[in-house]
Amino acid sequence: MPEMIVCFKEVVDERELKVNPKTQELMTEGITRKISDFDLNAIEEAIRIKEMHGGRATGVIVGLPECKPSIKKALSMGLDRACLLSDPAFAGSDTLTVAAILAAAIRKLGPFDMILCGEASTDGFSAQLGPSLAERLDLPQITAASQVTIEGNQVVAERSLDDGIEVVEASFPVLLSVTKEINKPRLATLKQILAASKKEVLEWKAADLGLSTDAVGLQGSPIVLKRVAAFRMERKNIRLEGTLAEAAERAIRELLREGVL
Amino acid sequence: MLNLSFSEDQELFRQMVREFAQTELAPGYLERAKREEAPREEFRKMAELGLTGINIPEEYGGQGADYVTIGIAIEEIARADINCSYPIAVGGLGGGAFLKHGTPEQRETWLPKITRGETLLGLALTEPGCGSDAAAMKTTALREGDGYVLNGEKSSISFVNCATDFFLFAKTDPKAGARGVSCFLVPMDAPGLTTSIFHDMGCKPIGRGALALKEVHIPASSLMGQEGRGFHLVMEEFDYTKVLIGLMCLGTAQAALEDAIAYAKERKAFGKPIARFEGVSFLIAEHATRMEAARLLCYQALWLRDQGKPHTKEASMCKWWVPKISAEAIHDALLIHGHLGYSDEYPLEQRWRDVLAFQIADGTAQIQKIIISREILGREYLPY
Ligand SMILES: Cc1cc2nc3c(=O)[nH]c(=O)nc-3n(C[C@H](O)[C@H](O)[C@H](O)COP(=O)(O)OP(=O)(O)OC[C@H]3O[C@@H](n4cnc5c(N)ncnc54)[C@H](O)[C@@H]3O)c2cc1C
Ligand SMILES: Cc1cc2nc3c(=O)[nH]c(=O)nc-3n(C[C@H](O)[C@H](O)[C@H](O)COP(=O)(O)OP(=O)(O)OC[C@H]3O[C@@H](n4cnc5c(N)ncnc54)[C@H](O)[C@@H]3O)c2cc1C
Repeated sequence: MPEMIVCFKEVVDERELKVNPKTQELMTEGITRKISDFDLNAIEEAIRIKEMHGGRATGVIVGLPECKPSIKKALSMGLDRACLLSDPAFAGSDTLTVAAILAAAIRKLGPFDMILCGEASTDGFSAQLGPSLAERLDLPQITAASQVTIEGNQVVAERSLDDGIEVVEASFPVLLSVTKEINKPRLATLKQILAASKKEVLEWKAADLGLSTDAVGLQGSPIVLKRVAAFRMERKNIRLEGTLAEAAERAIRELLREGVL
Repeated sequence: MLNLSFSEDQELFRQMVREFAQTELAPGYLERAKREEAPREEFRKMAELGLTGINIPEEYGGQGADYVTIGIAIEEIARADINCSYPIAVGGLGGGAFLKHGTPEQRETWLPKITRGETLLGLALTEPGCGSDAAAMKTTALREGDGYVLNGEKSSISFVNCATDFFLFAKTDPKAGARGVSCFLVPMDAPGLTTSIFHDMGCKPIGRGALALKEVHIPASSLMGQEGRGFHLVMEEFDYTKVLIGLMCLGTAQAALEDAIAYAKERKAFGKPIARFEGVSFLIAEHATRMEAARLLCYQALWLRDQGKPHTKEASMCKWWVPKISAEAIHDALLIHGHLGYSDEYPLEQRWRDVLAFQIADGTAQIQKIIISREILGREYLPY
């Protein structure tokens, strides 16, 4: 009966994202927030494992207090309880620091067999957090898992790689990050939504985790996010005239100049 | 105290239903809408999500929620595919009717099957000779031995292509008017019952058709409620399906308006997006205003029902007005799309044809206005 931790993150719904045409910066105000796509797969996988092998799944999230609806959604899908790590001091945390916050909370939650993460978040998409967390907790890690089977206290996982599938195994405790292919996240029924209201949500701040405010947030982060901006994609509107041979010649020259060839 | 917000649970439920409807139903709407085939696979998925038993108590496998919550589901499903919203309305109607009028045995038998989506109930009231004046029906149910024998014809009945059973209304006392009408549960495969399908301009997957009843024998246990109380039963349940029909139309119109908004921002004429022309943007503003008012009216009526308060008047207001303004909104959304709107490769004309059904089904505007005036002016001012 595995004791599971699922790390999930709240992100803006990228389908609603607009780019400020003047600054090229993303306009995120008023946009619907949702659980990051692959994290839904991680939650689903934990619930499936629970349905087959029993156990318990706790969701852990570093986020703003406003992410409660996402927590409710995760609980409705079937997580047993959730732990919100929120503190004004966490603002500006980079991946390294978010991993430190998560690691502190996971230690505080007690012994566990598995940590499930998404392969990468829909917004930052650094795919750093899982590995970083595994290092901090000194765990074996299986990234890009597209299929997971539990046998006793062994985990067998298929990893989707660019050039094939790798099958690996590890024993508990282990950290897994999962891909989109692993499952199809379920939608909660109304009954499950109502039941989720009764589930436990722990709320911890930096002090509850024994973290000094210097070690988290902007102060604790070696990476500072300066600016997020969209690429400007513009047509160059170059017309190649002349015979086919001349035009081809010029096309090659232009592509060489652009560094494409 | 006035509080016009949905609960946090209802908001999350709306989000779930929307996610389901937009991914599972919306992409296939247009293709399905052209066929006279019930969307059984989609119905099955909806039952799996508990959408056919929203108001049915948990002990029967339902979700045990209120009518406002059914409204949310209907609106979201209709935004993707109006035809798929039918079983929610019918499930709600069946659930309500069994809870109020069914015997304990009937509840045990029917409610779990409705929630699992195994039973799909139709409602057979209208006849070739009467619709608005349903009490003038000719179909009879006469006692014979320990059951009833049904004879007659029902016409313009939805779900003839896929219902497993019908709430069928017939006269147990042919000489009496409304008080002679009783309600029966009649299985689709009852010997002596034959069906035919109509070919409609919209809502094709819903399979509107006729039922001919020739010496159809049913057991006494098929009687719903008391003899002679069938008309009362259906009118009580219509008080709520009328509101759901409003939300079905509104959901469909909402989808059309959203399409029109997106198109108006993109389509350029005379060098700018057509949304910059007030002839276009004001149309959108006006429909959005009416639709917002309609939405409030619908949810108020459902809320009244949840509070156990009278809502006959409000239900009839929803029924005559909301399908009408929805059809008008879709019409303008179609025109905003210019020549593209007229093409059957876009869903606009389909949505328009679909919602037109609901200016007729479940009672026309005139009949609703008779009810509203009766509620406002008093029975003595009825035309008959
Ligand atoms: C509004 C906003 C402001 C930000 N500001 C800064 C900033 O000022 N400076 C800066 O350096 N970075 C900032 N970030 C980036 C942020 O620190 C990263 O999103 C975070 O460190 C995780 O990196 P990632 O998103 O690339 O996750 P990935 O490594 O791609 O995520 C992999 C998996 O890790 C888990 N995970 C990721 N994040 C969390 C979380 N918060 N809680 C629980 N589990 C999680 C999930 O399972 C996820 O699928 C900001 C992000 C947002 C959304
Ligand atoms: C898509 C669709 C699905 C339907 N599904 C079902 C179903 O599942 N089950 C079912 O039993 N029925 C169903 N119906 C039938 C529907 O309920 C009837 O069509 C409706 O009640 C009107 O009856 P009618 O068509 O006989 O019109 P009539 O009653 O003949 O009316 C014809 C016209 O006269 C007007 N009129 C009648 N009386 C008055 C009056 N007193 N004052 C002013 N005007 C009046 C009407 O408003 C209408 O415009 C469905 C209809 C449609 C279109």
